[in-house]
Amino acid sequence: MSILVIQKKGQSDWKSCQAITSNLHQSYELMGKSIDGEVKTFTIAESITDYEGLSLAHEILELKPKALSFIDHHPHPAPLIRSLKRVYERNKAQAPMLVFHIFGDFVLNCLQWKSIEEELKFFKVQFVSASHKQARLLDSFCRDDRAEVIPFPISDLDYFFSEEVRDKCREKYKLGNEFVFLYTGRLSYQKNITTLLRSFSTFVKNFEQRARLVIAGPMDDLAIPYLGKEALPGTFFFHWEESLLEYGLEEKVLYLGDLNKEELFELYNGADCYISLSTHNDEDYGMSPAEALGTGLPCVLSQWGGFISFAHYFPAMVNLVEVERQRERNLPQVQSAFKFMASQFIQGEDLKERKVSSLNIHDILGIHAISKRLGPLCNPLNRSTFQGFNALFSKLCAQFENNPQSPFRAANGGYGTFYEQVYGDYSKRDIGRDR
Amino acid sequence: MDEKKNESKNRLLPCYGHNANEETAIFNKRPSWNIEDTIDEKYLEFLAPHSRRYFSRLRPLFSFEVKSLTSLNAFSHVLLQDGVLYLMRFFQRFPTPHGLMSKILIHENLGTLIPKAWKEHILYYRVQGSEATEVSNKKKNLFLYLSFAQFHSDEEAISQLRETLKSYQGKVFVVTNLNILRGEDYLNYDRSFAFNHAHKLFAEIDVEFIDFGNLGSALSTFKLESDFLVFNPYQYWFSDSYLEHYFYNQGISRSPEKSEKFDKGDICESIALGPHHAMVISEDFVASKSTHSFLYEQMQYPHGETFQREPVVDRNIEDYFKVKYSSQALEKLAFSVAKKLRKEA
Repeated sequence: MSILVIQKKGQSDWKSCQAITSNLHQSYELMGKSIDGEVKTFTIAESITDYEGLSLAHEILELKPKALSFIDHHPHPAPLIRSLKRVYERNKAQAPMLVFHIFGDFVLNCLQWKSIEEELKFFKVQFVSASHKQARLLDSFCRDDRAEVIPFPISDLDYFFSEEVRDKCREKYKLGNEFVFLYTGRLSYQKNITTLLRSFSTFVKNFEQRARLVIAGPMDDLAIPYLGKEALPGTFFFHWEESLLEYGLEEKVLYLGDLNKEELFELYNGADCYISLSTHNDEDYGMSPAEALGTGLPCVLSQWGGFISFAHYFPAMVNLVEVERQRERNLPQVQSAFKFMASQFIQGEDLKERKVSSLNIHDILGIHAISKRLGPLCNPLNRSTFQGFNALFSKLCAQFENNPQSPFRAANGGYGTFYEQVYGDYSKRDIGRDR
Repeated sequence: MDEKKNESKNRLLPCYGHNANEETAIFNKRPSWNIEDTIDEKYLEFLAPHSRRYFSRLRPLFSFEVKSLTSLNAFSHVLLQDGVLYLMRFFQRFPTPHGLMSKILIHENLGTLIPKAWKEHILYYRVQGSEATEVSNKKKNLFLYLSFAQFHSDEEAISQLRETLKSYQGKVFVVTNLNILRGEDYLNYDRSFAFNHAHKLFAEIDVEFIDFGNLGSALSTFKLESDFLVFNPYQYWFSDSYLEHYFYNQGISRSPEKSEKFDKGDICESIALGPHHAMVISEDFVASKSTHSFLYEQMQYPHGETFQREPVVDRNIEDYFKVKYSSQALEKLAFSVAKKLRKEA
């Protein structure tokens, strides 16, 4: 069996996607060594015209792969899929199976997926989600259950627990004996950072003991595009500054900016609890909590989207903060967040246990572990041809076609009922059938 | 919110607290108080991406957008992003601050351009990086943003820039744009300066040209080992560029080649614009004696005869070609002034 792994030339702009694609690539390479066949990498340009797509499709035809696996979020494969169908049909060749690792932008790109619905029916298609909730979301758009769950892998070499690294980190940032809550990732409205600050301020008010909230990641000004809400560059920083003042947290919050992989590894080791209260609609997985877990760091996460799978895999290490509708948005309950923060604080640190936890996590999320699951996934015998998208997906596409700037906006400015219809399941704990 | 605490943060300007935030919010809803007309469109587009809007408690705008001085009274203060040319034109349009209640911030290097009648209404700003992003350690790579427009630079500045580029041991990424005024783009204007400058600048220097749209990708790979430079040697067209804030917000340090004055005494305060940089506000500016004498004594700025021939600012014209904000004579004079200011700085 030969598999062609397809990715973009050069790196993604999105940091988490850079790690995901690189780690998936490594998993495929490992898989190649363990199966009777070969795995080849095929890189494509950032944007492909139909003409370029045809040329690439001819190259692929020559290579005679059994399966093509798309492991990057960009560019969208539509032009290539259209060309592949034409080339394989014209040559009456056996079409390869198509495996799509789906990122958080599936809904955002729904019109592009819709545009190749007929072409996809020519192939055996496997959608792969990184989490159970996203798999259910994809299934809700297809005529048959199409999605399998395979988490985005974390690097076994880059994220592990080390007491030595922990000590160094705590010294570097002068954290002393303080209990350290850590958030890493984008700082954005979408990630509910101000709710995080509010929850931490509730914690600080109730527990006089020494605790710090350490935050690392780039700030962005993406507001809520699905509601048509935009912000000027620099607006997020204004709200960040105002929140720190409002909650009196200037001395308690340490913001470290955008860090590299090595610095993040140190920080995960130095921290005591990872926390993210995001309810972003594209929270299909959570590379930051996955890497934090890789160092054995317990997590407090919002009960939302991809985060729920972490609680499914590691119930002893992940606490889920309930999410409720507040005015126009789904937001985590501050009291519930406080309760779990307090619980982690009271439990304190158990460094021996943390080392064991780190190893257990790699058994499920590590590059090696994931590589073992890719073989069966890419076997065409296990898959049928694509049956098409359903009425819900057509409605979703219509929303994007009619209101590209605010597809989910209701008349009152908040999320409409259609948003609930699409994402309602994201806040429910039940993961459905195990996959 | 602890109003007192917030208000105590600033002495020179009311930037914090409920009232200030409300004013800033109104300021940012531009169409509610200042409808964009052909002049605004033409010149904002010409200055893009430097003129891209961004959020600041100091409320930035260009003076050609100001329709009347009294319209600014809705705000305790605004910041003029103008360079030498537009600032001179502004004070030619409004030689006295008649009816104005607000404070106006201008770049500290341009203080010489403030007529005496205006002094009490003016405060000065400069952009300053945090310790981590300031001018201490030179990095391996450079992100250079290079605009090509008439009067933006000259051979002398280009030679200096060339030396700067040569001093970087790693990669030099160059993003360029040719700024052309809409409505005048088809005219047979001389643009050879752009090619001459490019030829002189990049001969035998290995640089990588990148599209503005691909800047994010290059930054995400190289930013931790890079400086940035928004090339603006004479502050002729603008003194405050959106790009500088963009780069700072990426956590990149400014190229050490661009020096700033730091020691301004007690009466100054810092307004953070992002996690890595701030604007420092003061009552003091960089004085330029000989430029002052040239402007006010020789040229009788801003009332003198030279300044009486500026085109009428007609906000009702819709034809981009017919809209002209400043005369060629003023543009040439402003370039001489900009060069003098730089020489004296």
